Amino acid sequence: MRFLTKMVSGFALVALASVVSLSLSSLPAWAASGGTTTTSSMQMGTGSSNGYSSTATSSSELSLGAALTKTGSDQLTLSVSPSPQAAANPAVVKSLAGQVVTFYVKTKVFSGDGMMAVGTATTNASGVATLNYMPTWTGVTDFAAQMGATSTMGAMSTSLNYNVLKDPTGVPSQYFESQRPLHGIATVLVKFLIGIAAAVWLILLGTLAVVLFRMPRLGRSQ
Amino acid sequence: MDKNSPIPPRDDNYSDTESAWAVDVREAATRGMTQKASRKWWLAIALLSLMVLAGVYAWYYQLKHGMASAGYNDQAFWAVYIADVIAFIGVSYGGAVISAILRLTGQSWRAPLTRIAEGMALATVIVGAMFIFPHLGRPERFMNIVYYANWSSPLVWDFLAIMTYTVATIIFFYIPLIPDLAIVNRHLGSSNSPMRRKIYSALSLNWMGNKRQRRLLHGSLTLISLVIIPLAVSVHSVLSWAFALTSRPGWAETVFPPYFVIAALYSGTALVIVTAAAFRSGYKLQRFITQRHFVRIGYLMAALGLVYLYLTFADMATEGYTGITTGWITQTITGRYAIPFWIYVLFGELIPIVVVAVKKFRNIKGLTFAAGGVVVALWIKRLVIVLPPATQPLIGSYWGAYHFTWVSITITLAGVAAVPLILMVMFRLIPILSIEEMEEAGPIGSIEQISDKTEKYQDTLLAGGRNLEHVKQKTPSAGLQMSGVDPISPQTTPALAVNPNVNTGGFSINPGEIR
Repeated sequence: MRFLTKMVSGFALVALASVVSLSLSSLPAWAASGGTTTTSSMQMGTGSSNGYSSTATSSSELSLGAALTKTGSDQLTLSVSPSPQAAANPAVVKSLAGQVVTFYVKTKVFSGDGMMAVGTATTNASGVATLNYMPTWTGVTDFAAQMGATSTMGAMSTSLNYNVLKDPTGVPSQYFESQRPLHGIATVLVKFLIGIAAAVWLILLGTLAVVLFRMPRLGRSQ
Repeated sequence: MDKNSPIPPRDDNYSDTESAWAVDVREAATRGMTQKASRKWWLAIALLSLMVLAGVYAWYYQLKHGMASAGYNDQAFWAVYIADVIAFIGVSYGGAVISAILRLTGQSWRAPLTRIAEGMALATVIVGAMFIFPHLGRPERFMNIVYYANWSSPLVWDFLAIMTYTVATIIFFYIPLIPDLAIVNRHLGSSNSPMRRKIYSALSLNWMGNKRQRRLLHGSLTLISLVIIPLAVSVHSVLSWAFALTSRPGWAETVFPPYFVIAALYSGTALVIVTAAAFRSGYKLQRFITQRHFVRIGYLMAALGLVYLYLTFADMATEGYTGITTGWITQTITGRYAIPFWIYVLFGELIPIVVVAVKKFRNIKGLTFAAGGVVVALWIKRLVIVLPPATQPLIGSYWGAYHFTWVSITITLAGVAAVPLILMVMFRLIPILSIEEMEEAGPIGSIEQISDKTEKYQDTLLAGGRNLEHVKQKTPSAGLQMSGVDPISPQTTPALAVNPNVNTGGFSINPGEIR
């Protein structure tokens, strides 16, 4: 029993390692690219780019921005950077470096709280953290970010009107709806499968019924 | 016939040996029902119940705060809960199919394992099916799958297949229990509470053990065994089609149905080993569940592991070679899912194969360790199957991400805790060993379990007790612990020299009976 206890504990650690590795490495190279962002002009206030408009608000130390990138795909780059007041103070900037920032989409679709985590990124030496994100529904998308355990999330928000294209050009057509090859025989196939399922149920319940009704009689008839 | 006789008579007359065996089997099988629960048992029950309650609270929290509280988002829409569904129903499949296959092929050595395997199958299928509710997010819409069934969707077939399989597992668990409940009712006699007696009496269906009842029992069990094997295959095929019939790279794979079926068998076999080891130790069943059982199931586990490795390779090699949609492969092997994937390779493939291949490790501890690793590794593997394709972009290059939260971890752990909890409570209410099957297999069946080494020494013993001292020195237990027989005590060994019928405490061994 002691061996089993040790074994269970050991494997619990293995499972935990997997869970932690998935959680910590949530956004590797493609996300944690702080410092190389093209969104510096979008970090504060309002702005627009290629027809997409964004507004941003800032907390006392940090500000959040969102912009359309030109990196070959229609994705946004969300960034968090020190506010102008904070940026002017090297000590504050230094304290903001190396912090984990969690980015959120404000939506109630997945979350009653209205905050759906979409990824994390670590701030660079300048206190800037960026995350690439592609919204999946059309219309205005609001974003928020939280650094560490601070409660500045609500203060840092930005909204962006982003259109999701249903059939963008250049994307392989196999990803979009087309006539299924089995379309013609679907009804027959479904009926056939329902027939098999019914037969299985008949065998299962029939066997049970025979056992339930016949077994007591056979016991009495001896 | 006297209903209150301690041992209900069988149609064929019991020999003294068989009677002694039957008494021992009944005592061991009902030990959990008759003995007062230990403090450790209560402690374990309390701990497991707490974990389950924590999971229920986490689910309530998830219902209140949304799927995002469990780490889900628009780009990781399927994640840990569907992996839990596959993993739990998978292990259930393994337990049921192993029991069914061994039953159909007449493997009498299976007898001490069947109840544990079938109980494990029942517990895991119930827990696995429960995971669909947190996975749904909006459980109040669950019945829509019936009201507005879309028969061209694999999800409807998933629902139907899982429900059918659950019913089949319950029936497969119940039917072999009928004679045991009758035996237990008589065995426990007045020590059983009146309520329990009534329930056992009703459920045992007036079992008298006559020929016609046995014929009906065996016939129905054979039929259910024949049905449950293809049924279990269909359940996992349909589960796999919930993935494979989508247009997602990494999921839309022709190899998925057998891939899922083999994974289910593999992890199920492993969990049978772990469960058997746990209850063998906890209920002191060393005499009945022996190393030979573990080795035989271990061989099966290793063979299935190799097939699963082959299918994993076939899946990745085909997609990797063509290079059409290989993003998920890169993410799996070298990207963010690399650590879980290589943990699977180590604990789910390499270690079990080494343990089974190397004689030194091929013992109960080694095999239990390997099997425990397989169970955990295969759960991790399911995550690796689900997450990379789910988060892979269909348009553009943005990869989504799933984050574990305390909610999803707590709900998953609750499921893990629920399985031993159900089994521990279950085996306080019903016998842990299949009494009828073990009595039918009899002591002769158990002799099959004697290891080769033991057989050699038995031959020496039966030849007339030559070199008896040598045997005693070399094998203090004469290997009989492995054979399901008590160690030969100094008091019993002198009899060996004069009587070829070896009294080993539980039953005698006749030379002609050893096969």
